[in-house]
Amino acid sequence: VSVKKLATLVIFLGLVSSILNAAQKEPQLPKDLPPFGEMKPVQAPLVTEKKLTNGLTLWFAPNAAFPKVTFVLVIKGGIEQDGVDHAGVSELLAGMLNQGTKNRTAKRIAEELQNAGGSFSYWVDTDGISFSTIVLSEMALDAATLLADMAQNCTFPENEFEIVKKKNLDYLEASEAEPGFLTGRASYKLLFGDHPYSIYSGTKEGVTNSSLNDVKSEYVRRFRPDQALLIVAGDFDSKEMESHLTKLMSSWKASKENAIGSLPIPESHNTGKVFILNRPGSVQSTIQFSRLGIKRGDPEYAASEVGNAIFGGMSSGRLFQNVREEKGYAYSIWSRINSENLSAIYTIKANVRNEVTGGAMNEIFYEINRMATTAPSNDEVTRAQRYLLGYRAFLLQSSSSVADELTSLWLMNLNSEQLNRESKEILEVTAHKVKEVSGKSQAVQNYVVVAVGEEKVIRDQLSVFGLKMESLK
Amino acid sequence: MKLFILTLLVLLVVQFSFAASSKDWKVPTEIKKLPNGLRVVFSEDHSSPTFAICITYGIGFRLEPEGRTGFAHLFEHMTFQGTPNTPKGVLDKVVQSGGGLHDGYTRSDFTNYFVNAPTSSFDQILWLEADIMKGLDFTDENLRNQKDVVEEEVRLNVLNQPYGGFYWIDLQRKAYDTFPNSHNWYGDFKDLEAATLDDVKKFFEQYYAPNNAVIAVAGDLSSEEVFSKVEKYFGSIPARKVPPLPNVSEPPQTGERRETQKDNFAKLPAIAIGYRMPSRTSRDSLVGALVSNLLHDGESSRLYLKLIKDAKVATDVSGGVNWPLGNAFDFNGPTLFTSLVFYADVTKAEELIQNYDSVISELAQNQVSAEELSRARNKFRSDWYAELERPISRASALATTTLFDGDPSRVNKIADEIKQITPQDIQSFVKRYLVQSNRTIINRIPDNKGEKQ
Repeated sequence: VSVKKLATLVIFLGLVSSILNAAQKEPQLPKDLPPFGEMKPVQAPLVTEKKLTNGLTLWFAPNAAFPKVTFVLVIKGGIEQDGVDHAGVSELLAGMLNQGTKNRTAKRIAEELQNAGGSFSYWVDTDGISFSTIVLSEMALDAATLLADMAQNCTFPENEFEIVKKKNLDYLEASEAEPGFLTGRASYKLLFGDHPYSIYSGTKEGVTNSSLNDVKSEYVRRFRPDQALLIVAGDFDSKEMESHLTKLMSSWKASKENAIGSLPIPESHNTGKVFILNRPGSVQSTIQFSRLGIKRGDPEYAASEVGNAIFGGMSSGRLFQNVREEKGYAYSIWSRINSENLSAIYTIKANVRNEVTGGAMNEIFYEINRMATTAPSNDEVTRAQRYLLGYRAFLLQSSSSVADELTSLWLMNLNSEQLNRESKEILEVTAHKVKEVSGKSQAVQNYVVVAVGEEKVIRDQLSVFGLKMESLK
Repeated sequence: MKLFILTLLVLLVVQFSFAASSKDWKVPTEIKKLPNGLRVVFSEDHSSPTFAICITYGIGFRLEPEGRTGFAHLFEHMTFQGTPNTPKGVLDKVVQSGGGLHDGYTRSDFTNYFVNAPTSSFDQILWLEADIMKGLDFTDENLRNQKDVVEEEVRLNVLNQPYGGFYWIDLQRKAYDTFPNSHNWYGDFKDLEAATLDDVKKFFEQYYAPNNAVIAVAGDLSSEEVFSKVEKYFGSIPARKVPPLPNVSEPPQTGERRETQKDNFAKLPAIAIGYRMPSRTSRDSLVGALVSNLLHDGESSRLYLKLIKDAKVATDVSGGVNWPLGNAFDFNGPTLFTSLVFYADVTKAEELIQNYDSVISELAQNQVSAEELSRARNKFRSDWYAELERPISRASALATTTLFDGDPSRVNKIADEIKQITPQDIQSFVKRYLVQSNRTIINRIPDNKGEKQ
């Protein structure tokens, strides 16, 4: 039997078994199971906005339920602004912010944060960089003072820069051993082509190329009050905090340098192809499907989110039930929508042992086609709606995750009202609408497929689907 | 109803205290024991229209039988595979239809099943979890399926990753001499494959009894509702005889243990150092937790300042007590005080260890300043509060403190206990436990063979 023929058989069997399973898989609910109660509405936190005269936006989300306060300083301009030659300068900039100010050494900053019960962390995202600390409530004003000092008076000491740069290079070196990192990096590069969104993280070359002067000029360009947001969430007195921050932050002046420019809308590249990155010795294939998706704020986002939950966003969804619970091919298989400012990236990720790599791909293809061509059951839609609302309720349980949510909304030019709008829109989604939106987007030909693994073992298994294949270096 | 009134007479403790300063912050804790031995804990919190529940059983990896490494975790997977009343797949569907998130995890001395959901599904969740405690649907098909899934999990988290979890799996193998403490808790594939349906049944019968479990609930409910409904759904499950906890203590360590390993995937070397900790119930155990904070936590920590900023021999440092699979409170047997250090230059392993040792001997020779101690206490308290913020992590902390200390209100005492620790306590802990003869070191270095193939 040739490989091709065998594969046809596999695909055929895959279709049949999955359809049979789908038909069998509507088990009766236990007769004694009590009914649901009435679901209480989940309200988004009340956020008050204040704008300082220099353009800095303050968002306050007070909540006295827990005696800590989260601060997040967000600036526009993330890794998309680095340029391929300096990919990673964002991470160096972020890592230098706590390394010394006109008033404090790096050690002093760390000690003051520790004393407040906090630590310093940053997150370099596609469209922005956020800096956060979570401190005990009685130390909130001190933490605000410290954060204001770091944002405005950072001195970028040379000796600390060497250490930060070395740490970043080592971190990237270490990351390259991880299959998930390799898959993600390759997928972004292939899907976004030359668009700045193709930069998935810093690179060793980009970090090596970045001098302290580069970091300083990025600081001047990106650290401007008119393109920054400061979020304060948790147990604090809004009035007192507002007057404290107004005093501390009003002297922050925007430079005359260019602000962050706008980027073109990304288009997808390399779709409908399978790329293999050889990782000798791998005992699993790390697979990522990626395509452009519908982003938050789009009128079709709710239907896309419901469709995603049904497809691969929840454990009772189709991918998990089929690939894991029926076939035992994977421990981890999920799909998700990651919204950025200019587009969303829709991904399916799975880790499967070498010998079932082709079989798992077959099931993923099958489920993609099923989403595109048939409407989900009303049962699936209701379940996805309630799951998504329950997940929102979970996100809003803690002030720090509220602050994270507000950070992503602001980077997409949205605000907290979006949370209530989305909850309402999720409940309005119909099975018909899910099919309509899936029909437009869920096609194998729309995806870039990357598999990182033992190429000599998985190549033949992946060659049978009629898609173009390339090996990556 | 008669049963219910009787059980109200059993232990009932209520604590309520909210105050403006975070220093006096406490969470409410109430506990009740049902006649079948099931301990029920509740923490009222109306800050979100949700609740979380942990059904926590007093069995973990440590006590899985010889020849069955990884079985406690495999068993955890089996509990999601349906019951005689609830076919496979129904649990996921019902929980998620109610807006719930659910999962389970296995640790050294307990297995925890949790759900976070809107309060509207409280009854359904209780019904489903009680149904599981009543009995599972054991089939060969489900066992085969979950062996495959667990083996994929081990590949994903261990076999296909750089470092392969050496800083817990291998470190405890090297540091301990007896099976319960030294075996691979994730499981050897040979042992996972050997597991039978009879093993599954036996494990369930032995350990998944109401008298070996704690149910902890936190969230937007009333204590009356929680206690009466848990009673309603779980009260009829009979108590069973649970095997007494065996002695899992180790023969004393007599000298430093060292090992060098090669890693197929890693590009940077790493060193793990594990010191045997004193008993969890000793006061020294808590001192160890604070010492770990002084050494590992943040950019003002001793190891960060020495290894990364001063000597520049390391790239990253982390660690803790009962780390990374737990904290200083949620275990019941031997555990390690672990440091994990990533570094760049394989030839500098000895230099790194010398620098590490100089940090330890500095702590042994000179007492920490009042300022440094105060900062570390604040950070410890702040981190501990974070464990109690979300209903799901609060319920988990309540369940494990009830399981191991018999007292959920311990969660409110930890900040005070930390406050009592003195510079002398820290110095004597370091002198007594952070010594060479009490430690194991594994140096894991990249093996580039893979690239040449």
